Amino acid sequence: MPFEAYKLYQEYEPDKYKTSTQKKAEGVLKEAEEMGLGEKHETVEFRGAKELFGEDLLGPEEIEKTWGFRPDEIPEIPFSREELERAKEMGQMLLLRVEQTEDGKPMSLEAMIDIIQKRWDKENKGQLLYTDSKYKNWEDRTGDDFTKLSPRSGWALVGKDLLPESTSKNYIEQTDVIIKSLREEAFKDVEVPEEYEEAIREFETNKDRLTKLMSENWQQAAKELSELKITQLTRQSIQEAVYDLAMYYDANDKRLLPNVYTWSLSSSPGGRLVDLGRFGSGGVDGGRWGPGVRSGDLGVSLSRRL
Amino acid sequence: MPHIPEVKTTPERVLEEAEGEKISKKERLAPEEIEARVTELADLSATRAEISKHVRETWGGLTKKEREDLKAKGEETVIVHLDSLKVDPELREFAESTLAETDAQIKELASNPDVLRAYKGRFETLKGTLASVLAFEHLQKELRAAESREQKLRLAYEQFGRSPGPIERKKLEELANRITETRKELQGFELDEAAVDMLRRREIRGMQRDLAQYNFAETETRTELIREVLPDLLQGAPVLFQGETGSGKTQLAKYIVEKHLKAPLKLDPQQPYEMIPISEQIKESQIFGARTLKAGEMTFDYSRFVKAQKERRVPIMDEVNLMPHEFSGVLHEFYQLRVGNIWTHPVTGEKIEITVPIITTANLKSERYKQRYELDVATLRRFIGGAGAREIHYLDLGKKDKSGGYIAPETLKILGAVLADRHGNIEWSEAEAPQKADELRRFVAASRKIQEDFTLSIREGSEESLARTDRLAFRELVITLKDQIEIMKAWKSGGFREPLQQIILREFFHKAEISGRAAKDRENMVRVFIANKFFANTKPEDFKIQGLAAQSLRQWQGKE
Repeated sequence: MPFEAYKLYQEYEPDKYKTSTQKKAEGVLKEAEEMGLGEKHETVEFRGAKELFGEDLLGPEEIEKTWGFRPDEIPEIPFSREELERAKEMGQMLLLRVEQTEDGKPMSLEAMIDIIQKRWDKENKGQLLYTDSKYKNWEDRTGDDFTKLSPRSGWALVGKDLLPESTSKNYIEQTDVIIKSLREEAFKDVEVPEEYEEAIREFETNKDRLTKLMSENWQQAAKELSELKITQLTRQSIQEAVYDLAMYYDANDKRLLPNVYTWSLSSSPGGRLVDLGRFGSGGVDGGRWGPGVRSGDLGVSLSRRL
Repeated sequence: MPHIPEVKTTPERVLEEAEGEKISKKERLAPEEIEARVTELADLSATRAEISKHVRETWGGLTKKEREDLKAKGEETVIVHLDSLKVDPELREFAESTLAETDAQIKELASNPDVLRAYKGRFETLKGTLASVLAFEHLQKELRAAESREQKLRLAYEQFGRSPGPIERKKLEELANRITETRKELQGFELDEAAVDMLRRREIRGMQRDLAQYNFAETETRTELIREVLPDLLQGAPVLFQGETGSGKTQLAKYIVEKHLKAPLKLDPQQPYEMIPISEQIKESQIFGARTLKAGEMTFDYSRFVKAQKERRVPIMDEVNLMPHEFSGVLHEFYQLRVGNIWTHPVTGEKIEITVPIITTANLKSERYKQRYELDVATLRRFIGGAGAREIHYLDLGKKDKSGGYIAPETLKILGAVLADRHGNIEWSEAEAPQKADELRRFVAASRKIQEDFTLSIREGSEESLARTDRLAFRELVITLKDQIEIMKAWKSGGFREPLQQIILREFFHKAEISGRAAKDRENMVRVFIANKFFANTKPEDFKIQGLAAQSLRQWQGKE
């Protein structure tokens, strides 16, 4: 019995060809899922979320482990049970971000290094941020924000991986992928919140102009893209990406984005949009790009706070 | 369902041709024996088609009837015919005798009515499956055509900067409806396991054909890229493929011309593209042409680039990044022209009609890469205004599984097509298949890692990243898809008897050694392969890498 060559890669194409039986089974499962989800719209309590997300929920306990203190006030989780279930299916984690350190300073990159690096050195956990020049590369990427800017506080749903199909796309094309993902996955079968509808409208209205602008004046295009509502609602800032990666690694001993980069909402002082990733033992790496760039290892992780 | 014509099966036709010969015998066979013979008959029938094609080719394309007519005219006429084709008569005899032997085997098996009946039964079932598969593929093509038509129309409106009028809107609406309906039809299409199996095998066969004909196989990401650039190319806008060395830019360019542009642009059928390698030493005469003295008269010989435009061949300008700056202006002018525009030759003054788009490729190299968006904006804009500058990376770059490991589905698909026979099977026995498949996957994973690290070394910020402990620096040498294909071909031609690592040594390390380049890169490759469970006991001298220290190797092999 010879070996069928397609068996070498079939597992990577689960949706390419489906037999009628498989389709029917999926239909039944979907129906069951929809029936089960129909009743769930209430705000979720922390315990319920913990049950759902398991190690992918990073709350006060994990903040204490990574940043050395337990926040005084824990905000309510602003997502419905249905949204959380969708998020779980999409491979997202649920985490709580704080904007200040224990002594009230901004949770900046500098502060994060101060809090984490010595402990990680002791525990032989590698670097938080990759550098060979005393973080000059990060100061180049962030300017004054290196010591000042912190993550936006509150609960967030963050993709543990890049959105499928978001690589090899420029910033605008990535935004299209984000919107598709919001409509078809995150808010599937539920009403898209007005903030998002408004942000999508703003993007759609300006998309053609920004695409043109990208080739005429990429600095201006980068600035406008970074400021778009949809960007602010769905992408991480540099500080958030580093905060999220550090927390997850500390809690689960697993580095996310080991081979790829996520394109953040943050601009470097030179006007380029910063990407972050390739989180290995040497730390989180990054780069700066004009918005028209496409690269096979550059995509976007969906991150939302509303 | 498409109509599949009622045709006789190969064994029926062979038996019919042998009418009159005494070949009838009725042997009583157990059902499993019948099944085994039916399978053998199916294999022979498939092989016969190949042999028969070969025979036809050795006769210069003559059909059986024509061959017989020629033979009837006598041996001398046959020899004259074969001489004119420069065919060795022995080759012809060999091909014909192989065909005769195959026919004899088919006759032997098919002479048993039970076997023939069972074979016909299997053939009928296959016909049903084939009808279903063809219908499915037809729908897929219809969907692709409608999508590309819609995209083309929208682009056309965008290009002229206006909104579609009422008639055009109606057309777009119809197209959109057709797309939705076709998608629905595809979604609801009834496929059984046999049909899915056949679809997958046909996909492999398609890739094998493309590899043989174009030295290129279209996988999903490449298809997507082609679909993106094609509408603009068809309108004559230029395209630039930028990528790392060996990422397949030039091959992709040739493939697009051969497969997608040749017919619609009515290109020169014999030579639809003109390869124009660019070097830093390129002269003006190589771009425009030069005056020459012929038979005492001064004439002007156009360059290959200009001739390509006049003779409907797409110029593929390879490594355009090496073009000296002083010629950029000339090219910029060209990049802005579209099919149908007139270009005046600066020396002869001849008005030359632009008939084809230009395809260019550029290598991404570390020292140039960093500056390309800052210094070369003027050139890039010419492309972004047209089909655009596209980056071509190694297949599967950036893909990984949930646990972060490298995966290479598209590479595996192409290598699978290389390893498979025309039915989509790889000649691995059931017992050895898991081990062989594992060897192959580890090989692909190692190649991916090398490509990833090589790419990283030429990416912006690479100087930082290369210092990291889990990355290796590859500065010159990388294992390309072409290298992987060659290794697979060698493995297959040896009947998979040798372990894959032997083939890798012979086909890659020893061949790379000839150039004597990049010893450090090759050392790093050894490390990657060892990390992927190859070369656990290979001696340093077997790699033929100058300066490879035995102690280092033993460390990598975990022996020290």
